[in-house]
Amino acid sequence: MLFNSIEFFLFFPIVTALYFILPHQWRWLMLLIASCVFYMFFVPVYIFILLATILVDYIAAIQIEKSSKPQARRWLIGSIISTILILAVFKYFNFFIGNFNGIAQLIGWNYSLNTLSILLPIGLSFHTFQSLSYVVEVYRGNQKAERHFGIYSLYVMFYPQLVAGPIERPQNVLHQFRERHSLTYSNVSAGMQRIVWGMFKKVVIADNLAQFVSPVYEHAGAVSWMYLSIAVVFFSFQIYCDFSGYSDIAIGAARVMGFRLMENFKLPYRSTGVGMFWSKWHISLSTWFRDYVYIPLGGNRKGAARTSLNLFIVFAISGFWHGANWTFVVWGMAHGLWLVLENRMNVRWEGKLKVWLGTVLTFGGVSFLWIFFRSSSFEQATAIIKGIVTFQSQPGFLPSVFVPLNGAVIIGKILLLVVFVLIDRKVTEIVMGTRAMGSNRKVWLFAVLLACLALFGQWGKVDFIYFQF
Amino acid sequence: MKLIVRNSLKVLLAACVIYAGAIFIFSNVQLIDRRMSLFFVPNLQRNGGQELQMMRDLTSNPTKYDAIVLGSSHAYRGYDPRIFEQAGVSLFNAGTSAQNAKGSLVLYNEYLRDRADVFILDVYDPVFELEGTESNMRLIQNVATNAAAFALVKQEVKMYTLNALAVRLASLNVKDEAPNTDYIKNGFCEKKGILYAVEPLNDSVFDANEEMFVVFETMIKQMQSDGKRIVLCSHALPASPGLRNYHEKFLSRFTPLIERLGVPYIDLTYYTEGFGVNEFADLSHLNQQGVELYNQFLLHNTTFREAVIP
Repeated sequence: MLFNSIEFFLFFPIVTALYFILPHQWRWLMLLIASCVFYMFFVPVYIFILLATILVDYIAAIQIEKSSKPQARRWLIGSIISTILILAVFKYFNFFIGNFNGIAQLIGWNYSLNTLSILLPIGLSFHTFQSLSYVVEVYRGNQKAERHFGIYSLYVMFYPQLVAGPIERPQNVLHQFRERHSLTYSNVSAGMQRIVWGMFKKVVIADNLAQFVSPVYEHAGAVSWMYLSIAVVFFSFQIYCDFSGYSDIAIGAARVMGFRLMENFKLPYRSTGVGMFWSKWHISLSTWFRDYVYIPLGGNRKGAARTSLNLFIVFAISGFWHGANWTFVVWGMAHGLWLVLENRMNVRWEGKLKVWLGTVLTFGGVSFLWIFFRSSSFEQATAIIKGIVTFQSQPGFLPSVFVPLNGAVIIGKILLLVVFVLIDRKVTEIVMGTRAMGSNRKVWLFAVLLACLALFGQWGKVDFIYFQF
Repeated sequence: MKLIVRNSLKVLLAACVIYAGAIFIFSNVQLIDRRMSLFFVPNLQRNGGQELQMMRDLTSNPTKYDAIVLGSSHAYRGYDPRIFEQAGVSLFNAGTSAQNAKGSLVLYNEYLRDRADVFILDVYDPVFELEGTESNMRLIQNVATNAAAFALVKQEVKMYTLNALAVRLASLNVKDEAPNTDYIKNGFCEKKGILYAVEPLNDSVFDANEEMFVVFETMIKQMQSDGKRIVLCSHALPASPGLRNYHEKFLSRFTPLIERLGVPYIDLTYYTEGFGVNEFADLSHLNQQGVELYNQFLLHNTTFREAVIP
C-alpha cells in the first residue's frame, strides 16, 4: 500500500482507531494483521519471504542467547548467511548472472546462464537489514532475545517502516510494542503534523519535479543543456523530498499511536561536506553500516590508511545495497572516495561566507553524483554529463512527451521548489519539535500545506523511489 | 479527544478558506500572459483550444447532423466535414484530445443524443490504456454548461477533476487562452506537416485499463437502446515496428466485446495502400492528404455507407 494512495487514507484512521479501541493485550495482534495487509497490497505471495526471514532470525536469536560463545557465533553466521542469501537471490541473482554472461561472452566462452523472471520483493533490503541488526544486537548482548513470536514479527513488519525504513534497532523499538500507549493530544498533533509535511514533500514537491526529471533522463540526447541542468537539480530535491517525505509519514503514523521511530533525515542539503551530509542523510542506514560494517572492519582504530580503506569499502557496499547495477556501485564508491579525501584534507568551513561556499559545493557534488544514481546505465549518465559540459543545444524538436511541459509549467515547478527551499528548514524544525510556534500560526501553516496538497498535489499513485531497494 | 477534534476542524476549515482563495486568485489573476492556474495547478495547462472552439460551434447552431464523430485527436483530425459534405453527408466532429469513453458518454448524454442518428466512434488503442484524467479535465474546463462539467467530475472523482471544476466555477471572465490555429469547422482541425521517419513504438505491450472497456460497453448499449446506428473506425497508422504486436493485443480484448455488441468495425490500422510517410503528420496522426484519402475510403466502403447512409 502506498502512503499517497486512497487506500492508505482509509487504512490509517481505521488501524489507529482499532489500536486505541482494543484492549492492550490484543493490540500487537491487530497491528501485525494490519501490517500483513499493508504489505500484501504489493505482491501478496512475497509475505512468505518476509516470514522466512522472521522465522530464521527469531530462532537464531533465541539459540544465540542460549548457547556458548562459539556456538552462538555459528548461529549468528548461519542467520546472517541465510538472510543475505534471500537478498542475494531476489535482488542480486540476475545482476551476477548478467555479469557472468557478459564476461563469458568477452572471453569467447559460448555459455550463458538464464536469469530469473522475478520481481524484487518490495522493501526487501530494509527489512532484512532490520532483522540482521536484531540478531547482531542479541549476539553482542545489547538486546534480549524476544520469546514472543508475534511481537518479534511486528518488530520486522511494523507497517509504517516496513517497506522503506527507518531501519530500526531492536533497543529502540521492541520494548515499545509491550508498552501501553494512550491517545494523547501531543502524539496525535505531532504525528499528524509530520504526516502532512511528509505528504507535502512527496506529493507536492517530489512528484511535481519527477514529471520533468523522468522525460529529461529518458531523452538526454534530445534536450538542451539547460533542461539537463534543471533536471539534475530537480532530481536532488525530488529524491530528498520523496525519501524524507516517506520517513516523515512513517514517523508520524507511528507517533499518532504513541510509537517513536528514529529520525532519518536532518536537513542534509545544509551540510558543508560529504561527511556531514552522510550524518544527516538516511541516518538509519548510515548508522547501520557504521555499527555493523565499519566498526567490525576496524573503523578508525587501525591507522589512517586502513580507516580510508574501511570507509571506501563501506560506501561501495552501501552503493550496492541501493541497487543491483554498477551505476549504484560507482555512486557509492565516488562518495567513499570523496569522504576519504575530505578526511585527509581536513577541510574546515568556518565563517558565514565559507559555510555558504561549503554548502553550495557539497550540494553541487552530491547533485552531480546523483546523476549516476538516477541513470539506468552509464551511457545515460555520460550523455547527461556530456550534454551539460558541452552546453548541448536543442538537437531538434522536443520529443512529444515534453508537450505538457511548456515553459509556464516549468516556471511553476521552479517557483514551487524555491518556496520549498525557503520554508524547509523552519517547517522541518517545527514538525521535529525543535522550533516553537504559536498554536494559531501553526493552524494556518498546516492549513496552507493541506491546501497545497489539494491544489498542487500529484495524486497519481507515484511509487516512492526507495521502494525499489 | 475534544482538543484533537477541535483543532483538526480548525485546520480543515482554514485549509478550505485558503483553497477557495487560491483557486479564485489562480483562476482570475494574470501572470505574464495567462491565468496563474496554468502555471501551477497540475493539468490545468489549457483552457480553450479545440475543445472550446468545438463546443462553441456545437452549441451555437442547433442543426441536426447526419453523423457525429466521437473519439480522440485521431477523430478531430481524421474526419473532415468538408469532404463528407461534398458527398452529401453533414458531419460534426466532437472528438477532443485523448477523449475516452467517459468523456464521450457525457458529451453524448449532455449535447449529442438528439443531434444525429449515426455515431462514428473512432477507436485508438492507447485511449483504452489511459485513465483519461487529463482529457476529462480539459473537457471540464471547456464544456458549454456546468451540468456537463459536474457530470464529467461524477464520472471521475479525483482531486484533479475537482480542481478543474473549481477553476471553472471561479473563473469570472473566461477567454480562449490557447486557440487552436488549425481549427477549421464543426470540430475538425487540420494537422499539418509530413512524418519524417518511422520510429519503433517505445512500448509495444498493450496494458488494458479495464474500466475503459466497461464504460465503452455502457456507452454503446445506451446508444443502441436510443436507436442510434454506430460504426467503429480506426485509420491507418505508419507501419512502425511493434505496432502489429501492440494492436493484436488490443484486438484480443476488443474484438469479443464488439462481436457481442454487434457493432461493425472498420479497422485500417495496418492498411498501407496509398498510406506512406506523405500521408502522416506524425507517428499517429494523418495529415490533410491522408485525411482526404481516408475519408474517401470510408465514403466508398460498403460497411460504412450502410451504417452512415441509410
